[in-house]
Amino acid sequence: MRVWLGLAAILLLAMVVAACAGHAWASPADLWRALAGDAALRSRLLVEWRLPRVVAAAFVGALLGLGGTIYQGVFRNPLAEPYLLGSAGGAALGATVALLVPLALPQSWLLPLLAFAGAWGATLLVIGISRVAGAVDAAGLLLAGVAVAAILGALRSFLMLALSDETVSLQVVLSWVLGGIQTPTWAGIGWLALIATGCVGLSLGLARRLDVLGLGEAMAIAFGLEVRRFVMLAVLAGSVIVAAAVAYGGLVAFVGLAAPHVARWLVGPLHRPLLPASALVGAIVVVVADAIARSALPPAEIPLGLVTAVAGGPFFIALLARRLRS
Amino acid sequence: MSTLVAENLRVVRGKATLLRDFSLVFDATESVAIIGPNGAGKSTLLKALAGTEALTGGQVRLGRRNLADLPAAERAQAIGYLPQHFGPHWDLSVAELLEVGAGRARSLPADALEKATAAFELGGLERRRWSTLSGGERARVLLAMVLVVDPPVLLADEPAASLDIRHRLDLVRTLAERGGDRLSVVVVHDLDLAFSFFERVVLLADGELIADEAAARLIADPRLDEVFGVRFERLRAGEGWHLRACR
Amino acid sequence: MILALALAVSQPAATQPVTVHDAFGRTVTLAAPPQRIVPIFASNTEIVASLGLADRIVGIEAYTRYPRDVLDRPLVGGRLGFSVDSIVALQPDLVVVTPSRQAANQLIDPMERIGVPILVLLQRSVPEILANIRLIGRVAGVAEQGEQVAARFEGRLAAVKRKVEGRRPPSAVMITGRLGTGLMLVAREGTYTGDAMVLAGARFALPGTQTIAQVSPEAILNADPDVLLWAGSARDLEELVARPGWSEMRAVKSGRAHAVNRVELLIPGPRTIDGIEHLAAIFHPDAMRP
Repeated sequence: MRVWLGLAAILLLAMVVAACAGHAWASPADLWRALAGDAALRSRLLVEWRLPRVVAAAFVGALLGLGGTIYQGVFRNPLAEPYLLGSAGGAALGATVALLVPLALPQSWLLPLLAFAGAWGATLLVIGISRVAGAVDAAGLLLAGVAVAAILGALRSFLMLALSDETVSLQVVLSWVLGGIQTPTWAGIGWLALIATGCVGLSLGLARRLDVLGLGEAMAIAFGLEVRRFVMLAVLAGSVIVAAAVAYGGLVAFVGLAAPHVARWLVGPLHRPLLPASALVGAIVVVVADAIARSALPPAEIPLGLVTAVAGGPFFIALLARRLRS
Repeated sequence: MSTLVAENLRVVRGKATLLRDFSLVFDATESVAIIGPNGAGKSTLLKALAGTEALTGGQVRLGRRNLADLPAAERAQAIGYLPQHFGPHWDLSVAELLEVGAGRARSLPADALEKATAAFELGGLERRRWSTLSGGERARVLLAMVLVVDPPVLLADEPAASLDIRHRLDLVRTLAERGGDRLSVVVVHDLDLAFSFFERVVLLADGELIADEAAARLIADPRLDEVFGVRFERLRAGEGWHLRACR
Repeated sequence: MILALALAVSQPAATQPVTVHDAFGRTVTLAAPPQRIVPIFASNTEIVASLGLADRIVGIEAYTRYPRDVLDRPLVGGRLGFSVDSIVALQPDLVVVTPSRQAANQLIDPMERIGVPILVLLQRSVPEILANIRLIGRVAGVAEQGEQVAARFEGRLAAVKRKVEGRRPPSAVMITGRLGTGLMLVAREGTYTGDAMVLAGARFALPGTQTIAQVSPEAILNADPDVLLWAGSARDLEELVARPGWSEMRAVKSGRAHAVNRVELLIPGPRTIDGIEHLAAIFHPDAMRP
């Protein structure tokens, strides 16, 4: 119980600090005034721009945490991460199309839509390929994932070369690929909240079966789990969740890998408590990383994925060191 | 009424025929040991009875229903399967493992977890993680996990193999004693234990059913010597038996 | 798409609100002439400065190098993107932006939500650059000034046109960049740089409108233009034409391979007019001799 209260409190604190952070730091008093309806430009910035971004960051982090936990549970591997089955490649391809191809719909709609479609479509492709090959198990999925990622990467590179010039530079695609929160309007936040809640429900529905799967395949079958079907279902669910995260936040590195580890350390490996704990940890990490991204190098903004990757490296080394020692 | 019936079991994998068309009938309560040399098909038979191995021919019935038609969840609740090797991927605690085991049942009596903890002497170990447990403790936890839902059928695939002698003895005795009020079918490598603790013994060799008799009768059977390729000296030892092998 | 200017009244009175349509067709209304302008990209900064409004510029970004007196203003962005925070901190009442490097997409939405007027400009041809000058003039409440500046430029363009009209336009290729793979970027039809070349009295050596910006060096060698232009340093040009194949080109052998000024031809602003005059002197040296 204390762990949950602690996590929630840290998240709230992180969000307040993040809302204050930026090129020009605001004080909590400024924040309060802005929420109370002050019409000054500063306050409008806080309420219409920063606050939605902080909230979106929290949701994106939560989704990444959920997705990473599901993938680690399905592959029974603590090194599994949400972008495993081609969803990164697919999302990047979708985003490249949205960013470089002049299409009719406004980009604020198109970018998340195509990123989502790309991410989920790629995973469907991977599952399809492994079914055709008759190898719908962890190894088969991974192999198909590698193949699909390679093809999609090549397509994306071609598009980038073909469609860019002096005015529309590759940097655009690069900065999306490196990760960054697409700030939605408050209406968009509503949708994101709905989606996130749905994803939490979806993943909790998988919790018990993920536990059983973690006992090993033979035991899982004896425990009544239809392993093949469940692996596919869990992979699909996980990739929908990851696709949603990618649609709103680009390819943010490491969070999906690290959040489940931290959460496991806090609440243990059973998925019923692990999944929401991962979501909370993921939310905290992305909120903090986004705050750093916005305030470390003014007036520029460091891509979010760079911040998480730079932090992720040492984290990983620490994790490995602990494992080796024990 | 027979609980578990195997009819004309046939399992073929690739070019090898692992089980060659035999039938077995088990009662609702009895303790059965399955013995045989390596490669006899003992593990395959157990998996076929558990419904986790696909049959090339024949069928297995639980009560009146075909095992293959049973929904997986129902099957898991009715049949407890102890594998030869078990190692969870995540380092769960004893309490967590029991919780996962108990999750198989749609509804459990409120004290089921407590009773299982007590029955397998796991009190005090609840918070310990799997990686910190000794071999004997692990065997008890595994048993508790599988038996916490009190399945009418227990199929155990020689989980005692890697244990030291005291724990092996305790484990096999526990498995056999379950046959008093449930069905307990256990693959046993140690012939002494098989004949000492179990009411009935099934002898397999090369995928074929060689003998299926009460332990007291089969012990004297010369087919034992043939199948194992040695000459056994049968020695009565207190309540149990000791078979000494000579060439 | 020609910019449509919807103006309520034609008097330059400072108190009348001004409504215009920008290059994206967006309606932008300013209640009063802006006093704190943030132009994104050198081209827009130069246009604002050419109208005499340099002292109203409160922030620039790292790409701007000219005019010198605005270089000390706070930076709101550069290679790593543009910062909404930094822009808002300057309390601007007008932001001018071009859709390069995703600046428009990064800034339009937040500025609209926060309530800062933002104007998007495109420069697909030289006439569009002049129309932008007029548009900024109107929006900033100095419509007359804008008209004068644009008219002056138009006069210079007309002078060039008179001098080069009727003469056979040489075929030309202007290389604007080189990629690591060896491919080259060239000035194309449908861009202001290409337009500048045509206005200066040349024609495109590479046929058609290229949809892909990169061309292989082979295509340039095959086209064998009358004039070869290199938007960069003379030293880089020397290094390029010393290569096999390039040194055989007609333009190189006849001394008609020139380095031209990047800022004049790759920033769509007032200095483009200078660029056109310099190009004309290259294409038709005898006509442009004073």
